[in-house]
Amino acid sequence: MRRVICTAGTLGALSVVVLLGAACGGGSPPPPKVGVTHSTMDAGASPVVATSPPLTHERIDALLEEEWKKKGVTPSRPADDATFLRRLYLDIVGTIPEPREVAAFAADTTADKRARKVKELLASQAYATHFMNYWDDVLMGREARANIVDRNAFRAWLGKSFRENKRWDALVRELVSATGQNTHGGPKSRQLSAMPMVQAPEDADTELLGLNAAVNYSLRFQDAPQDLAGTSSRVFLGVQIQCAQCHDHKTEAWKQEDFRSFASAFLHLRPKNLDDGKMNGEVRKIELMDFRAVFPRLEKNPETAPIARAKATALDGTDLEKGDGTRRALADWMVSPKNPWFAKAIVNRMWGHFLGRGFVDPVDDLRPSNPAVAEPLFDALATDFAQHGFDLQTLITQIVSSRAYALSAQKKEGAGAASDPDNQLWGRFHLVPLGPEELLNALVRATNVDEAARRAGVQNLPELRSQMARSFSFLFDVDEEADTSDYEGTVTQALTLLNGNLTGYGSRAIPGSALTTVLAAKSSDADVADELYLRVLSRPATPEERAAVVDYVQHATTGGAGTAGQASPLTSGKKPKRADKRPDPLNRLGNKSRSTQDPRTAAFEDVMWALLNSSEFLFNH
Amino acid sequence: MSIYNRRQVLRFGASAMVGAVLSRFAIRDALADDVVPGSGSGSAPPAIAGKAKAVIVLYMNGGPSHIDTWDPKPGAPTGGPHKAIKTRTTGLQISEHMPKLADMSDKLAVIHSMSSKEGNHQRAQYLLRTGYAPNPTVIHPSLGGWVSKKLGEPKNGLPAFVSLGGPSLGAGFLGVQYGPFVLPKPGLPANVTYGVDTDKPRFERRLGLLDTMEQRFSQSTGDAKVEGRRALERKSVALMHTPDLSAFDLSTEDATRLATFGDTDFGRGCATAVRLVEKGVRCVEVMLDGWDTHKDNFNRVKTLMGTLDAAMSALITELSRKNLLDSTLIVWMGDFGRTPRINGNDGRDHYPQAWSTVLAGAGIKKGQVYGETDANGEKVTKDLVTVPNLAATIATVLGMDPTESFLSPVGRPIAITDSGVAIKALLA
Repeated sequence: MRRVICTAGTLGALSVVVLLGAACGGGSPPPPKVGVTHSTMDAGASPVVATSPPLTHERIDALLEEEWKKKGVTPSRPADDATFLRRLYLDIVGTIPEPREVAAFAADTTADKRARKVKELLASQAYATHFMNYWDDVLMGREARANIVDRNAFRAWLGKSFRENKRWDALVRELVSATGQNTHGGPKSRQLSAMPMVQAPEDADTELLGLNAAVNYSLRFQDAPQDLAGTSSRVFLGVQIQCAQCHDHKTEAWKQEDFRSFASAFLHLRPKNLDDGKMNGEVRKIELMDFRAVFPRLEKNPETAPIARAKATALDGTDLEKGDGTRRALADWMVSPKNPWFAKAIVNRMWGHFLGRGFVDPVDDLRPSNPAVAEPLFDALATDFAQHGFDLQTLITQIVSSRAYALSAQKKEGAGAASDPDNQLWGRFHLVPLGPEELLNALVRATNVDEAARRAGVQNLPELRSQMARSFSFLFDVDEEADTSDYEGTVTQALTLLNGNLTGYGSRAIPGSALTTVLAAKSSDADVADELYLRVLSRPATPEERAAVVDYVQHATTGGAGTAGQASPLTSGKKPKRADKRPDPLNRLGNKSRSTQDPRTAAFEDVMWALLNSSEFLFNH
Repeated sequence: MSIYNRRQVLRFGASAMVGAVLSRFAIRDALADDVVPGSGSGSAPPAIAGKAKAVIVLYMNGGPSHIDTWDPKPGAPTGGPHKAIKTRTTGLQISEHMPKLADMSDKLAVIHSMSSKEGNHQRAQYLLRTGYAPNPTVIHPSLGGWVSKKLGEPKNGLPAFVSLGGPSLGAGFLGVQYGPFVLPKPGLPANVTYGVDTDKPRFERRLGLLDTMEQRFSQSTGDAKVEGRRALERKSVALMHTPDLSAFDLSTEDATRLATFGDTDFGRGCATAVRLVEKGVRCVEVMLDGWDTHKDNFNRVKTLMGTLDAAMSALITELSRKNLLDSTLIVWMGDFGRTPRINGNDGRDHYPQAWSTVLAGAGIKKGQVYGETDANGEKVTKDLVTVPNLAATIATVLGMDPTESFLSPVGRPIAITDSGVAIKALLA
């Protein structure tokens, strides 16, 4: 028996529902009105009753302090305001603070200024954009599949979800059980340009009309439902069930049959092509539907055939073939407050995002043979999260209000330093290299290079940003989910910062650039130094640093060191043909006639360049 | 089988070198000396156990038709319009559009009996490049990742693993430092020359300023990651200034010789590969895209074979002329084969059941065909080769033990190949 759970016909009528990102259900009534979040109308979710007040940061601190005591860890001193503010910006909104924000925060003497700042940042559009980028990366990776995946629409859907602070259970339910249309079509190239971390367009929401863009997550795994199952289990439950795909593992709990039964729930989804004829260069319009029967193609595929033969079953043995479709049953089971993995997986991931290491590391590998540290705190946070409505912003507030999040990154010497050599208990703040999104945002904010480009005649600034983002994300392939004690970076990344246009033009004293603005506003060398530190490192210079800059600039001014001239180390004279001939969007800033002839200005360009290449700038610390 | 955990080694390194400023590279060198016989970091020249010191992978993106290239079926209903030509190798005919390669069949080992289960591009590319079926619980290193981990970097500052014409696959759980140095096109890499308004004295002044800032931050945090970053920066500066960087620059190549590679990016990539291997690079991938011929298969494959024939034959000739062919393994492979059945658009679709790969160069018993398919090119009828077994054969030639395991970040031992066993008949 085949039953179409969601048809194109119902889609039009329910476009408002779909706009909300809700999966359209066969039997369930349409939701009452726009603005109601999905979870409140879900029949499957148990009503959440907060039986106790939310976990306070005092309680969180007390639980962690007990662990420190047990292990003999002496926590480092608290971080200063400027360091804390920079951390908060990078982690919540993915960029560094403006100099005036640093100054205002320093001047604020009220006791609750940190709490108010957290609230302010969580309420901003930038928070939604940052977490849209984070989850787009986690869920979609670097693959394009632009012929069937509408990355723009998917990102808009994520952005909207975070802007509305959609409950985590609702968001996951929508992703796992999504049916509906993926895209309005359009050129593939548009999708490719959307891949990196470009700001969501203001009008993105209207693009979602008539769609359920959440289906794009499932479409990413078209023809590979075993990977959809494996990724969903890993990301939403922290259970790496797909380890058991090939054979039973001697020491792990999951058997091959468990994986097949779990993955079987994803074999009932089927794409229906909504386009006629050839769609060269276009994103295909597809409607994703659930069927009772397994898609015949998957029964024949040697990889998926054994999965097709298995009975869809959740990890605890719950039968998923009763009721309203296997994916809906799976989603119900997955997001239930009784599910032992669901709340823990997201709490661990978020704690890891903010503190640099999860209770369990890597963040997506919860299993008995990989035990958690600070288990009482982990349990308390997860229980609290489930009891208080799976509210991500509450969870984030709890994490960043903790004592651990406010500690200095400074390594301690002497007694207690050796008790936790890998810093598993966050006795000091973990140094984390900025990811591509944070780094690009921070570079643009520190240099004002986009304003300089505008002054130089670049018309389409969003396109400029998108191009910069693309050329930047290409450089990174960082696995940020695991804590490593050594720095992992590539030569290509380092070369881009040493010699690339973003730092090169960004440190130039050209109209509109940060350096030009600072030089115009401040007259003394010491004041310029201070302002540059504030802009790039989000703190004032120390007296020694200020003196060193002043010394460097004065030496350059009197010493008469040249500014530019010779070409590369490799060739004398003409520049050799470069491999990457894609036009650089910043080339408009490369006009030689703009080179400064003033030794003092050139010396400050050097300072700016060095700040942009410094580890203090390139790490979240 | 040596199993070690990167982080355990790091911890060991830290306690063994108390007070020393630790760089990731120092640790890696110490570690490499431990596990790799004579890795490039010591003072002795590298003694590689395998026959090949380097590998060049010619990757045919999209999945090349086996019947239209290395395993023609003239006269069969599936054969298509192209003719086959004889070679000196017993039992081997190849497409008429690869005459130069046909002429040097004595330098090739052609495998007709590849078979896999992966008919989806992403999954198949992952399988071919890593030797493992994809599994979201661990990211396996690609061949180049293993090679740069096991054989080490050249001392002249060039990267161990270069990918020309990407996209490539990285080093997975081994860490990004073992991943490919990716060039979208052959030529001098981006950003190896001084940036805007900068010459050598200014660059050095800037590095001096930077160094002061770095020292301060390194001291105040005491974190090994900062030293790791500084080491990476030094390595990048060294790459900028190594004279061997000119290996990337084909403008110094003999024009007549360069012309034999063909006027294509793939040809220039192959010419660059020779120059890089000559300067100690361990793994070079060169990509030839466009084999996903669901439509208009025969015209498109003909063009692609023209590109391939010139470039691959010139690659072999040039390696031989430079006495590098005996120490360099060449691997030709793509995602999968294509359907023997010709579809309504004159195309062929994905076909993982039976397809071909080619090995040449160091350590390979050449002038042979290994395995066979049936009259229509639909089924492997003799000596089926799995991708893990191909990977094990490649690893063995490079002196890597296919069963050697490394611990992934979650502490699972992952072997260099997925239980692959080298195929003896292919080894010299």
